[in-house]
Amino acid sequence: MSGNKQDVLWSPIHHDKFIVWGQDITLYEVARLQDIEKRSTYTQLSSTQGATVVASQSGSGVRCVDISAIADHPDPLLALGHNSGRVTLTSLKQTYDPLGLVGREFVAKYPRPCISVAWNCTESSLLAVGMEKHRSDNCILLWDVQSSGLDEYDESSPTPSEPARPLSGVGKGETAHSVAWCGFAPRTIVASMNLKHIKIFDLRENGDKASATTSSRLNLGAVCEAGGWRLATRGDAGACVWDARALAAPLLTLAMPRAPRRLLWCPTRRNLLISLQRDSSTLRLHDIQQVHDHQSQEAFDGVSEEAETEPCGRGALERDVWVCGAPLAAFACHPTRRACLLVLTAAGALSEYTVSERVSLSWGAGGALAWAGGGALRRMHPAFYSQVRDVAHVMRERASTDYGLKPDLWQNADLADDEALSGLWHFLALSKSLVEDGCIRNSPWKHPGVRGVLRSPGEGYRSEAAATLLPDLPSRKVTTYRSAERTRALQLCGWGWGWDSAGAGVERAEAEGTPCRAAALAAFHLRLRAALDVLARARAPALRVAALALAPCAGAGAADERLWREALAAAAPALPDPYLRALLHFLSAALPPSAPQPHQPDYSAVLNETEMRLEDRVAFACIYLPDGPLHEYLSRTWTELRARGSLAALLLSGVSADGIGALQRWLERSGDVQSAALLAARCAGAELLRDERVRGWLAAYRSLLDAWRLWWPRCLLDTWVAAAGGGGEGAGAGVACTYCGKPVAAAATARPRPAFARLPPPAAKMKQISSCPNCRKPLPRCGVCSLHLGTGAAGGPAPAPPVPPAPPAPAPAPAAGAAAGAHFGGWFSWCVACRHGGHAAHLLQWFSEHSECPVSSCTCRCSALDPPDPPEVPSAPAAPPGSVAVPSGGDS
Amino acid sequence: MISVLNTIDTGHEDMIHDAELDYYGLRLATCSSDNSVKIYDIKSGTQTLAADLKGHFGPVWQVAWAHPKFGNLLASCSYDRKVIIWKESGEWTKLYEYAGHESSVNSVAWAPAEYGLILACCSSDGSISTITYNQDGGNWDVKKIPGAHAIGVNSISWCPSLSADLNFDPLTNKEAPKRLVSGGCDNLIKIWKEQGDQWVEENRLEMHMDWVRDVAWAPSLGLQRSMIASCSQDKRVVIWSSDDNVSWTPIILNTFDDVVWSVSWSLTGNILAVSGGDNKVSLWRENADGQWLCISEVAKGLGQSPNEERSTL
Repeated sequence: MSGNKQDVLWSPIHHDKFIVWGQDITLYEVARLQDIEKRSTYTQLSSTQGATVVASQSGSGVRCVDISAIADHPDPLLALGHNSGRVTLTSLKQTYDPLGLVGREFVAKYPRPCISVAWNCTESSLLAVGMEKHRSDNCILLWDVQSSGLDEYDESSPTPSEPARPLSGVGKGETAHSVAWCGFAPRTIVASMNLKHIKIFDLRENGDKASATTSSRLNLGAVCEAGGWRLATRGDAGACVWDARALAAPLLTLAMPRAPRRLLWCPTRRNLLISLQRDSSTLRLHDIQQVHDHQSQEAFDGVSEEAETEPCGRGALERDVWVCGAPLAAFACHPTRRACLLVLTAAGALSEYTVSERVSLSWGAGGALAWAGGGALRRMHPAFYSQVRDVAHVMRERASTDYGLKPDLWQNADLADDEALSGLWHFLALSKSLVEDGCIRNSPWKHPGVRGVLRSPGEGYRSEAAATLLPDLPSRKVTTYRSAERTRALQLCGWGWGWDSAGAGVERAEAEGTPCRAAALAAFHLRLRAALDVLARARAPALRVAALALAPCAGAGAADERLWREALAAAAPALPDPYLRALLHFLSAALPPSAPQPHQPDYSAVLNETEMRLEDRVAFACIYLPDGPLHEYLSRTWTELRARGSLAALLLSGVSADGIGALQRWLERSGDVQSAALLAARCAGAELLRDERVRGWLAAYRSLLDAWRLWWPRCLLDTWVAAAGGGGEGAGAGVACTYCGKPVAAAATARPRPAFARLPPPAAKMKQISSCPNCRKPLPRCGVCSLHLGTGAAGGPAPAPPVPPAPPAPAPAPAAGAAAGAHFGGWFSWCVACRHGGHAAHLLQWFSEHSECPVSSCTCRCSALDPPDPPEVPSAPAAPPGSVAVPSGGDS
Repeated sequence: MISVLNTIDTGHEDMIHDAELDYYGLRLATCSSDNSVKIYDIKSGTQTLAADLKGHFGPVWQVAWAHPKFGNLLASCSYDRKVIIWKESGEWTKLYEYAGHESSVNSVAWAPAEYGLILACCSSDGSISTITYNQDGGNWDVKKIPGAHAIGVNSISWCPSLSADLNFDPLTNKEAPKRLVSGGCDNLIKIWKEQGDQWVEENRLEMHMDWVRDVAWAPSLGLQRSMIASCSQDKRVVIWSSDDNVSWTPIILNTFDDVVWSVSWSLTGNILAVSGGDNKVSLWRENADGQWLCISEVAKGLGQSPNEERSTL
């Protein structure tokens, strides 16, 4: 055991110093790597820290070591227990020694090996020493290193080398294999004795009797938890945890495959016991769990059987951790850094290891990530979500700007903050206006797509092929196709028909800073001169150079055309801009070398230029492809885009059944349920809104808005859905009688009920109703006017005269908003926090001047519970903030 | 490199095991080895202690907020074999205590609100319980799946109510079966389906080679695909995906350097947060090609100065 003994120990007071003890005893100092001078040799402990050797001395004959906690000492003061029985104090280093302790020796009366030394951490001058057996001496000796020598020097000490006498001693004729101070009481020692017993000695009492004792096979290396009652011991078969107050039976037995050679309580992490098994390269962490139950408390008071009946009252969560992959010799816990271990491998290498705790994560419903780990709880900084562009964060930001809810579709495009989405909103605005202007008729959808307006050739429609002259090249002709359907498709693509509308598009593209696109558009409309002009005006010199490539085709003779064509084919792929490439491909395909024969030019290079905008490609196809290939091209593109989950697919499908499918694909990819729900709410008709997928999107987005407490956008969303004929799913609140639990309004709306035949006529009844129609108990009173709810809110700011509490439409459409708003003043309205309420109109008036609840003893700040009103209140019926308003005729 | 963390002082005397924000993100519930559950009000980034719930006699592992339409309800589970449902009405009181497990209760989860007030919990005794509030009787009905996982069940998660196969068959929407996923010490992940009165094992997913520590069913906001993330002591995180909730395809997200403790989906289910034994929290997102990429990593050094807590983006 002594031959290969290796150990590592932290100084309890010098938190940057530790010793490694093997052949030699070496003192190390820890520093950050950048603070260690370059030329000194150091041992790297972790990625940031290294240790340098401060001092070293031979460790021969040393059987045990401990570092004192004497606070005034400039360097760690070591107590070395020798085989000879001497205990010497050393600091390994010649330094200032204010207390004169270095070099002192404490010798037992009868020499025999000293097995264990332990400094007391609180009374730091106390040193406990465990010795081998001697029949007439105590095996545990307590020394006071600061006083014993001086006071008793002159007395009957035979030699100066043996000056001190122990303060006290216990365990006559026994062997103490290990001694350790207990954390729960001063001057109390736990010791492993005679390979059989675990004994606790209270050294404040004089006498040799242990205050508690037990025998166990797992009796070695007893250690006590800092500040707790628990002890841990080890043996060949594993380890045991004991309660010092009830040593009769172990709290817990931890079986291990190999004998543990070291066992420590972590001083900085409660309940953590760490063990190292012989020849092992892993540390085992035992997280000791205990139920602090009244019953188990009683069990300590004597009835230990009761503890037995609770087999799962305590246990340990065990885990093996690899530290550095090499067999380990020893480890030590840092005295202050949380769960930080220093590990010494059998080969002598050092490594730092921090025990990582179970970290549990949770994304709150509000979208914030928090996690708990170790002793701390952490939360992501709000800025984080925008940095990773979490779609939930993006959606929340957009929702607060009323994205998707603006009256005009194009207004939403800017709020989307996303090119594809913003393009889609613009397209939808365009298709809507085309339908409204009557350009596109007979469409089953509010927002048709290109594929919707172009019928397939099988439906008996034929486009007219026309040979078109190029205005700038009178000798050339290019075949174009036209039909009414193609015109509509071109309009959907934003191109329009003829140069008149296309010219505007070219100018717009140029103004947007995309001269290449402008040039290509001009060229696709066969205006080569215009294309050249655009390029010549371009700011980037490279583009002006590109114009050179166009120039020959405008004026070239037939002779050098072949040369130009070859050069073009070679140069086109190298061009950076897709529109320039498409432009050149188009020219080389459209102007065939041998002009007159009618043939179908091959435009596939243009059509496959996927970096071009989809609408430009489709519009190009609509002009230059005959019916068959056009149809085939569109369906191929559609399948491709849909499979990719691209938003652009909606250009082809429009908001139709197919479009919903494409939107679903896009949603799977992007997770942006907000846009999907809003697009559906705004653009899908009643039929599509009944689609299960669409209802799923709307439900999901509603639940998000609820969680974000964005009631206004939620209200607007429901209004749009209701207006589109999607049903009033939003009206989820109703008023029920407190006494009988039946809806108050049901009876009022279900007028022709025989049960009410005896009541006054409906009109009179509804003005006066102030009690539950079912059980006749009174309805609650309004907090402002003190009249029973259900009576007309006379005198309210609502322009309407006293109104009956049953508005006709539970979820009024925006158009009907004015009419429904007239009834709104009489609605039941209440705060969801304090449950006080009154007539909606009264409450609105009240909260315009007050912030607290109108009920006198209630201090609820109802109106402050919600975000402030948006500046422009939409035409939809609005509830007072912080409250729920319900038409008393609403469903329950 | 930017600093992205707020550390919250909780005042717990011991290890914190879980922290959950409520539906509105206004309250934070934490639980700890000091046997207590604490509730904080969160306003503009600062938190104030609102309640300190004492009722457990052992470390409290997990807490879960119910949907606010049922009132302010919080469930907690503990090493003391109990599940407590707390209710706030003025102040927090114990609404119901469930002591039907014979060992530590490791995880609690409320069912999607559409199903009503149902709580699932799982224990080291190997069983799973569902506790359903019966509105008419005002009592709680317990159903138990005994022997769900040998040695113990570590984690449980509900299938969202708006999910996968529902969309394909609108007519059966109302009858849509409830599903649960659980992960246990037998290295398995099991999917449970409610059939009539019973929970039956519908599927078992085998991939992990050590204890499964956490499972999380992704929220599916309008998505047709179901996803489950699982993590294990074998250092791997696996994403299981399915189009019909019946056949599942695994993809190994990553193999980490250490035990992976916990996985959690973002609100929309497209970012997965993973916490590993190496004290790191990493965030993963699927790209258009179906590959999972790490978009951020936060190394959380224990006991190190706060300015060492940084994230790489």
